[in-house]
Amino acid sequence: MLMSNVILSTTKLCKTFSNGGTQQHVLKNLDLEIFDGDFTVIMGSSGAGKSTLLYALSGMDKPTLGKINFAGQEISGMSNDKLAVLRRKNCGFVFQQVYLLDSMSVMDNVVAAGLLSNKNKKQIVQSAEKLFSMVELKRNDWVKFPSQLSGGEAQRAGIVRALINNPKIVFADEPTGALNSMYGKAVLDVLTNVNMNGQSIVMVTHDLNSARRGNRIIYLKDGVICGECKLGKYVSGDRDRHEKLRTFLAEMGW
Amino acid sequence: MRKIFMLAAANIRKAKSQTVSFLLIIVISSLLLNLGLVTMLNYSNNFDKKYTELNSAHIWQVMNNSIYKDEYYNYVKNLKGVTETEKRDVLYFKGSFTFGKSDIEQNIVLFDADNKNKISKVSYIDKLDKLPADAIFLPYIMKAGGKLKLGEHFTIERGKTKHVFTVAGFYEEMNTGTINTQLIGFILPHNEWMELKETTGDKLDGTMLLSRVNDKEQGKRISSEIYNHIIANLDVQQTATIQELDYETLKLARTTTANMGTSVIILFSLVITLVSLIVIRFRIRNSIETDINNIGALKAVGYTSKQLIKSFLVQFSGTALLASLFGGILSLFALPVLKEGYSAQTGIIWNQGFDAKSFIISIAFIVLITVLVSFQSARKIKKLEPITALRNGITTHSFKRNYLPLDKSKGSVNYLLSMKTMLHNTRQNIMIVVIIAAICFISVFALVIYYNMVVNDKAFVDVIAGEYSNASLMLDNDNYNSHLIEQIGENSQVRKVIYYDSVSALYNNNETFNIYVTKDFSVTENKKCYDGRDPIHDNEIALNGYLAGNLKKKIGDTITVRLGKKSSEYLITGLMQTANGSAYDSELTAAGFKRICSSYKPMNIFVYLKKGTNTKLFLKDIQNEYGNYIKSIQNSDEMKESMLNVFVQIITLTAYVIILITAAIIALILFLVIKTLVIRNRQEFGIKKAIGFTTRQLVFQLSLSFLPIAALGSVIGGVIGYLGINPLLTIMMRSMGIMKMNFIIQPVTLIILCLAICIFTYIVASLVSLRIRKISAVSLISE
Ligand SMILES: Nc1ncnc2c1ncn2[C@@H]1O[C@H](COP(=O)(O)OP(=O)(O)O)[C@@H](O)[C@H]1O
Ligand SMILES: [Mg+2]
Repeated sequence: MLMSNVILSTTKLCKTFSNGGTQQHVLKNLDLEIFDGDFTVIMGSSGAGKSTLLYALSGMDKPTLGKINFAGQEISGMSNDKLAVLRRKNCGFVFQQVYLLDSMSVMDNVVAAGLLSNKNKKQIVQSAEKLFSMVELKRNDWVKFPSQLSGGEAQRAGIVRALINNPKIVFADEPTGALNSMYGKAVLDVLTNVNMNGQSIVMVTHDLNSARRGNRIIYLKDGVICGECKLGKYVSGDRDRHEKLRTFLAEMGW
Repeated sequence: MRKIFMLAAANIRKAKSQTVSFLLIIVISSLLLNLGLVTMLNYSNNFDKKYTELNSAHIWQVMNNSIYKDEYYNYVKNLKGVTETEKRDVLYFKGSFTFGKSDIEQNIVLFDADNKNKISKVSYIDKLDKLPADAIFLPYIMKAGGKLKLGEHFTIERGKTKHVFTVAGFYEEMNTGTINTQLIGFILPHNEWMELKETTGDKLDGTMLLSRVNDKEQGKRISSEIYNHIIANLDVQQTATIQELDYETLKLARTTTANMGTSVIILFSLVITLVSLIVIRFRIRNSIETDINNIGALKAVGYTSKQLIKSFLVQFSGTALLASLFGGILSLFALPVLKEGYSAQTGIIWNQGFDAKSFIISIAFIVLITVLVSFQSARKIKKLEPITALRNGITTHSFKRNYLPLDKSKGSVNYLLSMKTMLHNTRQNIMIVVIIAAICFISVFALVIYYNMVVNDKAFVDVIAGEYSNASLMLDNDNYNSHLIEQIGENSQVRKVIYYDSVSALYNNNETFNIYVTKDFSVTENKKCYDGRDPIHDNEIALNGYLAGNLKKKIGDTITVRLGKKSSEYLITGLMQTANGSAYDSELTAAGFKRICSSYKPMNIFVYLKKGTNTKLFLKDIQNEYGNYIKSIQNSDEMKESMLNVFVQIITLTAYVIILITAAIIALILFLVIKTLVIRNRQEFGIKKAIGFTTRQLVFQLSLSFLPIAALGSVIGGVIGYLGINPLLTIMMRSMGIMKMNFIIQPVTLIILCLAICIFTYIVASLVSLRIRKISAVSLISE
């Protein structure tokens, strides 16, 4: 077990959307703690509110009610611009649809993000190159536009962008959802690797293979946490671990 | 069909604010196009229409009965080309009166109200019901430009005598109803007229000959012939009191300033229409491109391409029709302002009501263009497969070059990203550059005209008024004092005095023209020659360039000038421009003029005062001291002011309106462009926000990306203005004898204007791009 430092916590977190008169309570009085260094996985069926939770946690969206504490700071009442500054310093994001900026090269996508928290261009380019080689993205891909990359390459570029600021937490929303298994595995390997280096990860997924990578699995159902399952750090080919997770998910009704 | 309307209505609802700004631009352009067209199609005819209506004379002469002989009337009546002649008894004298805020000295004709005019009829505009005992009827210019009202007092000073009248009516009359020529007419009721005639003995008695000719182009020539006949046996001093004018000269004098105003309006309306065409195209193309997803969905559920294209046609041509109708109706309200401005300058009422022709043309034009552009843009829908459309179809953007790679370029991330944004929108940038350049040019035009007519009118006065001094004195021939000039020169308030005469003679053996005579042209202040130089020796002449062109003469050629029986040949040394005497002008030195008029003695003294001198007070002193030697005094400063004043008002107004509309257009266009940009690039902004860009940074980036474009546009517009305005004005004014306009264009003003446009663009862009605030990072995911 790792040292249990809470890096992110919510108290009575509620998120309600109003859709044309009807109120949809997506998150209901959610209490949750995320620990530093963990690879936290949020699971649940489609529409359970996983993404909504992830974006509330990361300060990308504001909760309707409740509090969120990020590394000792109360962020639920912060202005959008303050949250943006918080994100650029502490968070990295990986999305299912990657969401690289189409209008600029892969390298520019990464550098643009890097420049937000570090003015030293040389340093940024250096760490970008290091990260690119870590995700095994070839040099001639760096100058391509995102639309010229395959899905897997694009997602790896997305991860590089997420990591360029050396964030405390990386948030990933179904990062492999749009990828075939081979590309998916490569992306998961990178994330696992990142977590091994000490950065926390919060990943939403509804795919068992992805979920296996986490050391703490949280199951969300209709906006409340139904249960959680703690595993050790990921080791490939660990059958016990795999069984434990299966049992847990079966209990959750997955 | 109902489905099509529903689709169109839905599209409009979806883009309310864009529809509104699109509407506004069309309203403005339709308004201006209407005004421009009405002016262009009707105003220029107005003068001639009135002329025909009132059966006005094409040529007319007026002189005192001490000169007049009945033989002249017979001569004129029987002259070839003359169709109709009327002889009228008038009172004729040189006098002064107040116009606006200043005193004007003019040759005045007083008509008898009971005279039955067959030629040059009078059309009363308003009249007191009960005539006071000292009634006078004044030409309309005294009301429109001079701001006199019925019942007010009106004083005419004749030498030391003051005649005080009460304004009892205003009328239109073409030949003498203007302050822009040397002759103005007023009408007195019969008994008053008779009384004045009797009390003044025969001193004021005069005769006016008014004639119509069968070809008004020949008016000037025939008028010269008559003048030539009359002055054949007169001396210079006598001829100076004869006034003769013709249709062409009069038209020029009465319509010049208004024509300048109308050309500004027409030019402005054309530019704005052009701008709105560009905007219409942009708006339609973009709306269709951003709607592509929706189009795919509609196609998927079974709408045909035809229906979709029709719905766009209905949407845009409907808006355009509505907006242009509205603009057209607005123009009806703006027209009175324009009409008043024009009549304040010309003294001719422009009875322009609703003009169906301009109305229909402008609306049809705008709607037609809209339909064409919508059709051309909407045609793409045909080729679009529903499935590609749903997948965001025809890529609106295919990025080919990664401009300014961030890892290699210098500069802050905000700056670099904004430049990237700019470089990716070439098509749109070109549009904005063209629009801002056009608008900036118009603003420069307005500013230059404003500056040269209101702030510093030297250049304008130079062209319009010729040699200009603060005051001029006409010597009394009966008590001629040749030393007066030196005595006045000794006055401490005087900077300079010269003799400067304007006399008539003949060229081409029978055509009259005007000759400016002074001893030494190098001391005059108005350099009239735009090519070559003023005459120095007695065998040299400078000739109006337009006239020289007509005569096919150039510098180095010779021309024969005749006065009475004497004629002499002169060498042309310069081509000059002047507008006041139309194109028929020349210059001779005093020695040169003596070759054809040995009895010549200078009659007019031009007085140039030191800065800060009060002209009125100075002239009072002069009158007291030297009154005996002076026949008349003219305060040119006041005269200039009064002539320019009416003009100044409309120019100031025009300048303000133009600047205002410029600002409005820039704002509307930026609104359309940025709104479209923000909607189109929602995802990009969302992503940027997600990775930690603040709204403020994004607003800054977007606004900054417009700055270079605005700068480029305004610099282009400014440079075109700087280089083009004088040539353009010259073309516009060529027929008035102006060969080279030299309006002062201050680079500083231009720079300030360009800066103002840039700053304005930046501010508006910032305000409009504030809507980025509404885009949230999460909206990406929920889409
Ligand atoms: N911005 C939004 N506005 C309205 N409803 C939303 C919005 N975002 C999410 N929802 C709704 O909230 C519910 C949970 O969505 P989400 O968190 O994306 O689920 P998951 O990621 O678990 O599939 C869904 O029913 C979705 O329709
Ligand atoms: Mg989701």
